[in-house]
Amino acid sequence: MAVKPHLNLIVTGHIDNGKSTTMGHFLMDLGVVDDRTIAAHAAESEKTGKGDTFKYAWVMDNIKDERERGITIDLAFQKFETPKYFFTLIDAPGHRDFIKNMITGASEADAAILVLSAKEGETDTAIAAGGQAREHAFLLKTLGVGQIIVAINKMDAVEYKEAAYKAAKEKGEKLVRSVGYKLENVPFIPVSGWKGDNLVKKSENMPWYTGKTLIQAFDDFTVAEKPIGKPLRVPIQDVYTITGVGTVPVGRVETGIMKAGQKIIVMPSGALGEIKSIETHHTEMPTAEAGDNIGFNLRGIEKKDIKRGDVLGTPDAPPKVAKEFKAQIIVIHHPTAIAPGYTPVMHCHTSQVAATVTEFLQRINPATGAVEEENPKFLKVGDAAIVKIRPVRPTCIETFQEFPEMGRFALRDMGATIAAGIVKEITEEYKP
Amino acid sequence: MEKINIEKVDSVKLYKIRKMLEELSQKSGRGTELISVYIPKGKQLHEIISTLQQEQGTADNIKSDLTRSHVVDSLGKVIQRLKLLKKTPDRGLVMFCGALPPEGGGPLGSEMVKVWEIDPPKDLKQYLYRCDDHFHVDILKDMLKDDNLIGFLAIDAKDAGWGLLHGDKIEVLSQTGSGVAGKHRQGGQSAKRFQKLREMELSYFYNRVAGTTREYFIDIYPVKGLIISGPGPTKEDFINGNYLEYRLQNMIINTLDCGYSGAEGIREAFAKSAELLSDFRMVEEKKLIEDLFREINSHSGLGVYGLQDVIELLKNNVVKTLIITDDTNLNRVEGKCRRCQNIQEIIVE
Ligand SMILES: Nc1nc2c(ncn2[C@@H]2O[C@H](COP(=O)(O)OP(=O)(O)OP(=O)(O)O)[C@@H](O)[C@H]2O)c(=O)[nH]1
Ligand SMILES: [Mg+2]
Repeated sequence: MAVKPHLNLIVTGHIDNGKSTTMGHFLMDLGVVDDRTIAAHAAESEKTGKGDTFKYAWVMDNIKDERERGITIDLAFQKFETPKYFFTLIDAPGHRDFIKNMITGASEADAAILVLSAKEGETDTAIAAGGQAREHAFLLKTLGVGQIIVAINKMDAVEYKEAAYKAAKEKGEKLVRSVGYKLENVPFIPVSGWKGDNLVKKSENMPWYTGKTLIQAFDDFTVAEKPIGKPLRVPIQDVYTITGVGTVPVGRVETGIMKAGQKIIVMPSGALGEIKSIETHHTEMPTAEAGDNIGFNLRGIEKKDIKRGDVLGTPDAPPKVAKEFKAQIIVIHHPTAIAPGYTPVMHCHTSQVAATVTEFLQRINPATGAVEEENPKFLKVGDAAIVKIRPVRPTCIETFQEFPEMGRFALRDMGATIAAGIVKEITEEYKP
Repeated sequence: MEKINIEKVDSVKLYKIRKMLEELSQKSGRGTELISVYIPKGKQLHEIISTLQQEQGTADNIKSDLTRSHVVDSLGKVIQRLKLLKKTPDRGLVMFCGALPPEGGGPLGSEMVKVWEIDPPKDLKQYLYRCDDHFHVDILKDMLKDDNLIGFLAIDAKDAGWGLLHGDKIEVLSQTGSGVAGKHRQGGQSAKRFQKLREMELSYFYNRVAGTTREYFIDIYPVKGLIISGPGPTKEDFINGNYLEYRLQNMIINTLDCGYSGAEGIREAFAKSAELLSDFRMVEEKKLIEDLFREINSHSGLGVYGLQDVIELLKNNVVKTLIITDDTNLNRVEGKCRRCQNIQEIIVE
C-alpha cells in the first residue's frame, strides 16, 4: 500500500448539515471523483424533484433508500491522499436512528470532522440536547477519537459573513470543550460544501478568514505510534456474502499485523481458519497492519462462525471474551436515576449488545478516583462509579490498560447516550 | 395505531393467588385425603352440592379410620361453605380442603381440617373434583399465565430480531444477520449492477425473515398483534413489499422508528410501545419503577426504598404505592417476653 501513513477520518454532525455534500465536493476538487460523475448525479437528482442539490452528496450516498430520501443511512468509505497522508474517509449518517452506524465508524476512526451548519436555526438544533452534533461529539471523545476539526458549513447561505461564522463558531467551541476536547487543538474552518469554499481551494469569498483550508488542516493531524507489536485484533465491522467469492468480513486492524496464509481464530465462536487474501480499497495486499481498513477472505471459517462485533486474532493470543467485567463508568445523561439491573445497549469497538449493569461497587470522585460511597443504590447524572457489567451474550472486549482501542465503550438507551466507560478487569471469561 | 385492550387484572390479587398456590402445592396429605374442587362459571351450586354429598357417601367405605374421617369432614366443610353462597360467583370458584398437620408437625390425629377458597383470575370453564394426596393446583396455575402475546420484529438491512411480550415479560427469541452488502463493497462494480445485486440480496433476506416470522408468530406463539420496528425505511420496504403472510400482515398494530435492529431493537421497540401496550403488566411495572426513581432522584421525599424506611411509612399509614418484588420472602416474627410481657417483632427472610 501507500508509503504514506494511513489515517481513518470520520465525518460527523447533525442531519442535513452538509457532511456528504462537503466531502463529495472535496473529493471532486481533489480529482478523486470526476466532473462527469457529478454531472450525472445532478441529472439524476433533478429527476427526484429535489433539484440538483444532492449532486455532491451522492458521491457518498449510493444506495436507493438514501437517494430517494436525501439522507445518509450507511457508512461510506472513500480513499484520498494529501501531500502527507493516505486517508480512508468515512462518511457517517446524521439521522439519530442510524447512530449505531455512526458509532461503528467512530470506533474505527483516528480523526474526525464535525460539520456544523452556519445557519442559525440549524446550528442551534444540532448542538441542543438531543442534537446529533452534541451526541456525535461526545461519542467521538468517548470512543477515543482524539483529533477533531470543526467545519462551519453553508457559509454561502449566510452570505459569507464573518459575524455568522463567529456566532456558529462560539457555539461549536462551547460544545467541543464541554465534551472534553482542548480548544487550542481544535481548528475551526468556515466552508461551503455546496460552493466549494475552503475545502481544497482557499476561498475568495471570505477574506476575513486567514486560517487553513480543510485539506491543509488534514495534514496537521498526527499519527500515533501504531500498536503493531501487540497481538492481532480485528473487530469485524460487517460480513458480506458475495456470490463467487464467499464470505467476506470487513473491519479495521486495531493492533498487530495480519498476513495472507496466517492461522487465525474468530471469537467468541472459537472457529479456526486461515487468511486466504487481504484487500484494501479493492487492491490486494500481502499484509495489513494496525490502522488499516481491510476486507479479507478466510479458509475454514463458516458464515455462522463470524459476524459483526466478533474479533479476529491469532490462536496463540486469542481475543478475550467476557461474560462479566468490571468497568469504570461516568453517567452523562439520564432523566432519572439508574439502579443495578439497568440494561442499556453497550457499544464497544464494532459490537453492540444489550448489557446489564449488575452491581454498583463504588461511587468515585471522577477527578481523583477517590471512593465516595461503597455499594451505592443509585447513580445519577455526573456520577462516576466502578460497576460490574454483564452483556446478555458473551462479548469480545479487552481491558483498557492492555488494548485501549478495545477497552472503551458507550452505553445507550432510549435514543441517547447514557454513559461512557472503560474496562478495568474481566471478571468472568468465556471460553468457547 | 390502535391501543391493545386486554382485560386488566388486579396484580395484588394475582400475587396472592400465586403465593397461595405455591404454599398449597407443597402440602401433602397423610393418605388420599386432600380435596380440590373447581366450580366453573355458571354451574348451579345445588348440582355441585349433591355431587359432593354423594362423594361423602362413597367415602364412608374408606378402610382407614383416620383417612375416612378426614375426607368426610373435609367434604362436609366444603358443602357447608357452599350452602352459605347464594349463587356461583361470577367467574366460578375454586376450593381446596383437607386435614393437615399443625404448623411444625404433630402426632397422628392432631390434623386440622382447613379450607382455602380462591376467586379465579379469569372465567373458569372446567369442572373438577379430586380427592388425592396433593392439591390439584395446575389448572389455576395455567390460568395465571398470560395468553396475550405480542410479537416484535426489529429489522433493517443488516439484522433482524424477534421478540415476544407475554404478561410481565419481554423475551428476545432470536436474531439473524442479513449478509446484504453495505456500501463498502461497491468497489469496481458499476452502480447499476451493485444496486441490482443489493436488491436481490435484500429480497432474499426479506423472504427469509418473513418465513421465520410466520414460524414464530403463527405456529409457535400465536400472537394477538405484531409490532415492527427498526431504523429507517427498511421496515417499510419490508411491509409494503408484502413479504409477510396475510394473517401477519393484518396483525401489524404499529410500525416504529427505532435506532436498533436485531436483538437490541426488541427492547427498544418495547420501551417505545408503552402507550399502545399500557394495559400489559410489564408496561405497568416499568412505569411504577420509573415513577419511584423519579421521586428518589428529585429528592421530593415521596420515593423511599429499603425495608426499614418502607415499614416506618407503612406504620404511619402514608403509603400510596408499595412495590414488592416477586421473590421477596419476608416473615414477621413476634416474640413475647414471658416475664415482662414485652412484645418485640423482627422481620426475617
Ligand atoms: N447552501 C448550502 N447548502 C448545503 C451546503 N452543504 C449541504 N447543503 C445542502 O444541505 C442538504 C443536505 O446535505 P447532505 O450533504 O446530504 O447533508 P448530510 O449532513 O450528509 O446529511 P445526512 O447524511 O443525512 O446526515 C442538501 O440539500 C445540500 O445541498 C452548503 O454548503 N451550502
Ligand atoms: Mg450524508
